[in-house]
Amino acid sequence: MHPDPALWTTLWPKLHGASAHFPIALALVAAVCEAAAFLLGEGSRRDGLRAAGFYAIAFAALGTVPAVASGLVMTKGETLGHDLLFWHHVFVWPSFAAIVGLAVWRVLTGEKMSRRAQARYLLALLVTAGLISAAGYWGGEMIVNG
Amino acid sequence: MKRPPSSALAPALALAAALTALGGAWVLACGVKALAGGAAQAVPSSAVSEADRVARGQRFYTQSCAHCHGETGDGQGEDGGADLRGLAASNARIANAITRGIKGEMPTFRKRYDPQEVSALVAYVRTFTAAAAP
Ligand code: HEC
Repeated sequence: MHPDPALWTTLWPKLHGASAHFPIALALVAAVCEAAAFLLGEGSRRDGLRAAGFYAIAFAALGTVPAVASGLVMTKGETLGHDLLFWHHVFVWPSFAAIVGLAVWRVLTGEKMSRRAQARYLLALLVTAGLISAAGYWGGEMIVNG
Repeated sequence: MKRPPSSALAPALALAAALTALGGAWVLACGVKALAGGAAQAVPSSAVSEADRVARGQRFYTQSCAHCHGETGDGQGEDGGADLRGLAASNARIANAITRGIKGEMPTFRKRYDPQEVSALVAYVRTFTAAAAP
């Protein structure tokens, strides 16, 4: 099978660009909401933020699927690569796994997380937000600096 | 979600989901590789070392150049580059453009690619000449 080269230059990078920003943004939103909720006292504001954090991480996890799939098709199945692509992947793979894992954790525990579990979850989420930002940075570098 | 066992199991299930996701990505990568790489295997063995150089150059090109110059070298990349098909420029001039870049137009790749890698890129860019006809 000979894939049409034009598809690789135009369609897949566009799809990757379009889809990759959703999980990045949603993971960051989740981190901000959960952090704010953690700092707030009990009340409806906190509940609202926790709920927002819940949906943000859940949709971030769903959003990783098209982002990862379009990225893999665009690079013809490259899982590491060199230079910028390598650094992109160094951050992409842990954050991909972390976002999916955190979403499952959060969805399964719902509102029943103990304060300690919330602290652990928040810590992991903040690290993940850092990782996915780094992945996005290196992805952006590939467009800007070749 | 009201069942306590599910929250006790949650971290383990979360880990399993994370690993499954990575595994899924890896399987997809292998699948895509098999589909996309199949064509590259069918090269006569007499041309192996040149073919290797070109294949290597193609990898670098896809990664660093295609988004400007287009996958087929037609200059139709997203970020706007020149048409590289049937270049009249010498190999040395192409290599020079790659290592030094073009001010305000194209970044330098001196730090990214050593001379061998640049020559692989040149070899690959040269293939656009022959392949220009649709
Ligand atoms: C940021 C977009 C961009 C990237 C990335 C880029 N180029 Fe270019 N390149 C250009 C533009 C624009 C021109 C046309 C400059 C001009 O005509 O003044 C050009 C010109 C060239 C030329 C013609 C030089 C000449 O003197 O005729 C070659 C060869 C070339 N690029 C090869 C490459 C290779 C190989 C890569 C990857 C290693 C690459 N380019 C990456 C934008 C880019």
